[in-house]
Amino acid sequence: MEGHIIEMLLLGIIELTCIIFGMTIVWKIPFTFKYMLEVTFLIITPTLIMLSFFEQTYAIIGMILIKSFYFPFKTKSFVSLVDLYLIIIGGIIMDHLSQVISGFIGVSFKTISFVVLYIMYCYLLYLFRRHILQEIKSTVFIMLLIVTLLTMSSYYIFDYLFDDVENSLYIALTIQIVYFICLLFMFYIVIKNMKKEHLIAQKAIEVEQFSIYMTELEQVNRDMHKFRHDYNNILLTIQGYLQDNQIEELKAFFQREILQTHKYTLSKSTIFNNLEHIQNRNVKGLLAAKILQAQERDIELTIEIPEPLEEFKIDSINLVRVLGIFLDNAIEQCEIESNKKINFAALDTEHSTVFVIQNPVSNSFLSISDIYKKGVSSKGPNRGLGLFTAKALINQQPNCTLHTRIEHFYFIQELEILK
Amino acid sequence: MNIVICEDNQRQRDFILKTLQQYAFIEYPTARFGLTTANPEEVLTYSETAHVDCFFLDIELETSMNGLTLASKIREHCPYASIVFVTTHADKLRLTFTYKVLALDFIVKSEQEQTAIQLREALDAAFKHYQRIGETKETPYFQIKIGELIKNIAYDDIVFFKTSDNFHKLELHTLSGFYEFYGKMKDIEPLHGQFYRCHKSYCINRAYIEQIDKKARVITMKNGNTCPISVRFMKGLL
Repeated sequence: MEGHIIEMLLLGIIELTCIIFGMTIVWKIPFTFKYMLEVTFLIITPTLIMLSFFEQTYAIIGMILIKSFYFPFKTKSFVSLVDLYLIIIGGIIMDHLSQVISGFIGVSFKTISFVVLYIMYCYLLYLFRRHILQEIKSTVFIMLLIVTLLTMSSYYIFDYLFDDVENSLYIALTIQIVYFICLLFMFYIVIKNMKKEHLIAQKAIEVEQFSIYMTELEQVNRDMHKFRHDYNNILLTIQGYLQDNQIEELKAFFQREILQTHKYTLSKSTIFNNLEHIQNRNVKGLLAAKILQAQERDIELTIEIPEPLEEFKIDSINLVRVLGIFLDNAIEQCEIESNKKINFAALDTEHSTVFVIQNPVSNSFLSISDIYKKGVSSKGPNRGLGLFTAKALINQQPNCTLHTRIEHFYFIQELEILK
Repeated sequence: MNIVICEDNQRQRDFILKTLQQYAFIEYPTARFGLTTANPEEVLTYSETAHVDCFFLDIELETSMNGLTLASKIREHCPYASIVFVTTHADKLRLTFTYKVLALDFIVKSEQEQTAIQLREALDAAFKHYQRIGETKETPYFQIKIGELIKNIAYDDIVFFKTSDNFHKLELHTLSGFYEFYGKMKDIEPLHGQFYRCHKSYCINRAYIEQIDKKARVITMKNGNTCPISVRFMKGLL
């Protein structure tokens, strides 16, 4: 009996270590002294105590419960639960698989084959999570959670039920693998659905942005038409002044009628001509909307896009969100500045596309390194979410770098997207 | 310092030359005006043979080549020269010129008096730039490329380096801003004696340490940022 308990405890430690190791890989938890202490005293010790005093089944349930509390707390994310269950599921399958394999090549290889299979599984899971399941919605998350939890429980139940049956290993393994394939299939469908939804959302935004652009363009067209119409009248008036040699009146008329009224029309049409160099409809629409917004607030927004831009190698919704946040902030800052001016440029170079946004800042408002932190803003508390979100979105992109600085009383942001 | 002026309007050209000459005569006696022309081709052939430190270029040249093309051709063999643009249109692609050909200054032609002041200021800036190139060996700097713009950040201005959360990016923090670039932390520390790797993901400039909290193992920098210290790197700081 003593030997049995020691063996069970040993197995328990191995199992626990495997699961904790898996979570550490998948969630990239830094391997610190504190983490090791926590794991030892919060997970391993209680589980071993339970294993020594209760029946194995209860101990396992207890262990899973402890982990289900610990990891979401540690990683500050409930999504880690899905990973935890996937790791346990993987552990069970790999354990059985290694038993089958060792049946063919020799019992002594069981541990090695298990370790190899298990590490491979954890690494695949890590890649899968990193590249595919980065952001999931809460509904999808709950569904995944239920399914993984059920799968895991059923694995344990199968194990328990078939423990005494002859050839139970093969039966259990077959059922588990079939189950696992079903699970993978479900994941595939969920991901496909998510992508589809994302695409639909993207299209909707695209259409919306583009319609703003079209409306603006129509307005510019109307203004130009009006200008052309006025043009004849203006020439006639000038002719009149000239005939009577009324130079002073002509000057006044020129200042009042032509410079003031039409300067705006002309500059706006130049700005819109600039937008033709952007193929991406979302960015085009965003800029059109921001031109409108700036103009309503009497802010001079210059847009420079000297050459046609190539399509960006970045999710255009994210790009629009980031640029939108930057421009909104610039517009807001301009409202409290006397120099109401925003310079925007999108420049194509050999290796990258650079977006530049400049707006004046007269007060050196904050420590510049802090502005991307959550809740930090020059406009009071609870306002600093914009830049924080922008930074998080940029950090998700492997080919984007962001530079931020204050120079000669200008706040300058440069977003570079590698090709 | 060798200066070249390219402006197609005869009157404007004479005005620019006269203003700069008068100013340089008193302030910068070493300055000379190697070429004053209306023809951009001439500027190119001249800059290929002679060493030029500063260009004053009109953007709207009435020839086949405009100022931007001229400037980017000049940049091919004079990467360090100062280029100052003179234009009649306010805000004509100011950022484009700054980022594409590293324009030093941008002068919008207006009343003569105003333009003259701006020309003098531009010459001041160009001379400073010219002096700085001579000194670069003494003040080492870190280079960051933003598109075609090269930003030189003196080591003395760097507060700390930090690894970004993702994808092998490093962040460089100064007092007035911060920059991201692709690189490895282990290449940073050997750059300069001032830099100290205090943590796996942080490398600080010792000159900017405000205070060290040994208990909490954090350094407060002079810009208000805090950097963590690892136990094993603590010794080197005390």
